[in-house]
Amino acid sequence: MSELRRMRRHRLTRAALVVLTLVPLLYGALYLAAFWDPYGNLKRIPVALVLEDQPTGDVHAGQDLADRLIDRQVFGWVRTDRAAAEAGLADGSYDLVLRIPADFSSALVTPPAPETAARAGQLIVTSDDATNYLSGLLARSAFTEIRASAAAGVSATYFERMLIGFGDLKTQTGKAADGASQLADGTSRLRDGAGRLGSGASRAASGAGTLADGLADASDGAASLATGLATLEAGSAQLAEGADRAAAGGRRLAAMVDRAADATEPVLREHAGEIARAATAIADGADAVADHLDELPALAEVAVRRTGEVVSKLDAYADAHPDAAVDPVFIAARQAAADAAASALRLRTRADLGSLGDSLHRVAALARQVAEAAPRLADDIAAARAQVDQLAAGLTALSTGAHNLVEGTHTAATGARDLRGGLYRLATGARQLDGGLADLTDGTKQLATGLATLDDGARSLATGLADGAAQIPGYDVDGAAARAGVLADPVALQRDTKHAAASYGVGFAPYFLALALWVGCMVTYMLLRPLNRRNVMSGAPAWRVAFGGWLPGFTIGAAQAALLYAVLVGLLGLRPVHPVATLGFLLLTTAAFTSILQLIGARLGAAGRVVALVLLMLQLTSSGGTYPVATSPAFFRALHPFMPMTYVVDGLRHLLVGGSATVVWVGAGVLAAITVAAFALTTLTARRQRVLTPSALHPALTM
Amino acid sequence: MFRDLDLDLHAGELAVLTGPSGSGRTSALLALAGRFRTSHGSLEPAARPALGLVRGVHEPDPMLTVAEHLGERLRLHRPLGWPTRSRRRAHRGLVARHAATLPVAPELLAGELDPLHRHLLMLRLALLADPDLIAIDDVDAGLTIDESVTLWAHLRGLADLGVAVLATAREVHHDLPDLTLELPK
Repeated sequence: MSELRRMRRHRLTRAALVVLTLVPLLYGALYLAAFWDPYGNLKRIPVALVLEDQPTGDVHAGQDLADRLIDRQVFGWVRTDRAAAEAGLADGSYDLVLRIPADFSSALVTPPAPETAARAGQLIVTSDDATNYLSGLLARSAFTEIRASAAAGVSATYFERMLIGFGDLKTQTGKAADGASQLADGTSRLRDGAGRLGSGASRAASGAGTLADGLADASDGAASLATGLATLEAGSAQLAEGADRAAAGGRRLAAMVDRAADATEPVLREHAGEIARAATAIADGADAVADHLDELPALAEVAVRRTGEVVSKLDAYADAHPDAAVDPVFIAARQAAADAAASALRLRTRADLGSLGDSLHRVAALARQVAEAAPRLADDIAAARAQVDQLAAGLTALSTGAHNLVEGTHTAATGARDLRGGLYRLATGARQLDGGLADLTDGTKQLATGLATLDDGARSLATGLADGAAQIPGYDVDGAAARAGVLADPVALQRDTKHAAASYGVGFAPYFLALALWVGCMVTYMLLRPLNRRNVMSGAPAWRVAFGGWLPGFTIGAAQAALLYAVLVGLLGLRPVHPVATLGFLLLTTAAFTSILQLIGARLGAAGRVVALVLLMLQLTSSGGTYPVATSPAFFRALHPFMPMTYVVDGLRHLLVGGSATVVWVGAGVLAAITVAAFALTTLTARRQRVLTPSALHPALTM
Repeated sequence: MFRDLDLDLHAGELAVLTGPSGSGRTSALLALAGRFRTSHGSLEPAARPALGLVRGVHEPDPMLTVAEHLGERLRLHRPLGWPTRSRRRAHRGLVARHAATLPVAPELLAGELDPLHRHLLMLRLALLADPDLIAIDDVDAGLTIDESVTLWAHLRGLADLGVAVLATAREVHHDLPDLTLELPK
């Protein structure tokens, strides 16, 4: 504690104690104050906004976006043109440039054509690491801000698509190409199927034509059958009628014969002509019926055959076309055909035509015999009576048979009519089917042709999409990582960094180089006397004395700078764009810092070391070496142009990563001027210090 | 520091300021040489004052050799220039010539010199400025009687060369100074 008591003895040492307690505060509080909220102060970062967008129709997305960005005031937007923006970015007036390209709106309205550049419709954010490294990082914030602004608008989805849709487009195009090739496969299979369908349909059409022809024949046959059966019916009806009359006549005859048997021959003689006529009529009728009956079996046979054919054809058709089998028209036709076939069968079985014909012939023969015998009846009554009785019984049987025939023929005729109607409907249906199948064949041919075209189109679509997908950058193996980067950081798509710093380290190298050189010079003048009192008192020219104090400091500083630079280049891999100029600039920086610290040390002595520390802090916080100084509070922004480190950082940035030479020359000029000015002041100090003061003779504080 | 000092010193004269400790002898010496700020009074300063050994103000660096002190002072009085070989050779020649006037080896460190030789070295350095006044402090501090006599004789010799010599001492026992001024306590 006696050490502290010693310090309280003197006013200067008391002040030193106070300053000592303040040093950590300077470092901690000052630094934190400067970089308290850089992102909250983005609105002070000058960003050039270049609106080149040409409105398309009533879409003026560029103007809308610009208005919204300016309204939101997240950055210090400055509307300017492209040339001014580029120049401003190069000389550091702007930290970023946001360019809304001319085709921004049109790209939103129309999807990009394959032959247009894939970047169409994108916003371009340009930063320059030579101006400020963190501005490049702020471009990320800018992107966020643009996204936010865009999202605030009605066309949010547009911007979404436009800004990040590029990676998606890639994926979607790939998917589309896959889909298109699948489509092409499908269409080629479909085309094959359509070809098969076409050939099947033409086979079906020819089959349907045959069916229609056959059905037409069947229908004709059925019609003639129906006609024949109708004739037969009429004939059999007449026969029945005749048979009835014959039976009645037979009975009357029998009665008359019976009565005649009782009566005398004259009666028979009287009625002989009548008997002969009746018998002849009977014979004629029976013959006619028998003639018709001969045709009937043939007709019935034909009907059976035809209807059978129809049924089997329809069944075959139904097997070939299952879907036709459920068609009501077809079913009705099939039913009618079956009914007709059944009727035809029944007709064939029912008409016991042989016996009927025989009995008819017998009747006719008997009737003729009767007719022949009639004149002789009177002569042979006993024989006649038995014959007449026999005739009457035969006639009665005939009548019953004829009635059966009529009934059967009627059923057959009805069946034939039904058959004819059904076959007609069936033939009509078959004709319609034939027509439909012809249409179907034409249609399938057209379908096949169309599918061939479609297949070609799908193939060229698949090829085109695959080509397009290949042309969209980032699908090759080499670009996979880049693509991943693009998807992860969409702003990289638009972010165009001029004089890009290779890494964080390169971006911050100017700042830390400046810091290191300052600390180096500071420590140098803690060890070296800024001005040697013996030399000050020597009477030698003051500038010479000052130079004698400066040169050793500069020599050490130059060694420090060269060593530092060698380590950065050799071990850390710093690759300055202008290596020699960088070293020169570092040496100039060392000269400036040396002369400043010499001046501070010479003028302020021990207190100068604290001042040097404070100056270091002020420069670190206001040189814009990390965040753009615009993001710092006003105090630091005010200091910014007056701090040597500002020019060191700017110049080194442009030398390390390239960029405007003007900035370097300005920096070099400022540093040279600082060197000269500080040296001149040191010279003055040396001259003044030849005249001692009591405090200089007996200093209270030495560090 | 000091008051009521009136001194008129001319070239070729040797003046001595005496007084007890704390009487401001050093301050007065420096003030008269134009090397100390005065609050009152007027001073017609010397055109080219130079200092001999003044402790804390003009003293040799113990870590430098005699030759190095000479070289440093020679460089200060010479215009700047690139150290070419011929310049360096000329410089070394000058250093050697001045070192030869001193009774010590040029490679000796100033920290190893005894007080007399330190005085002599600093006077040699003062002479390099071609002064019209040489101020020297505490001429008799830490010297034996022999050494003191030698140093006073040396100062007298400097004055005889046409330089005004102003010295301080605790006391003066001989008549070498042209005038002696005692400072009040």
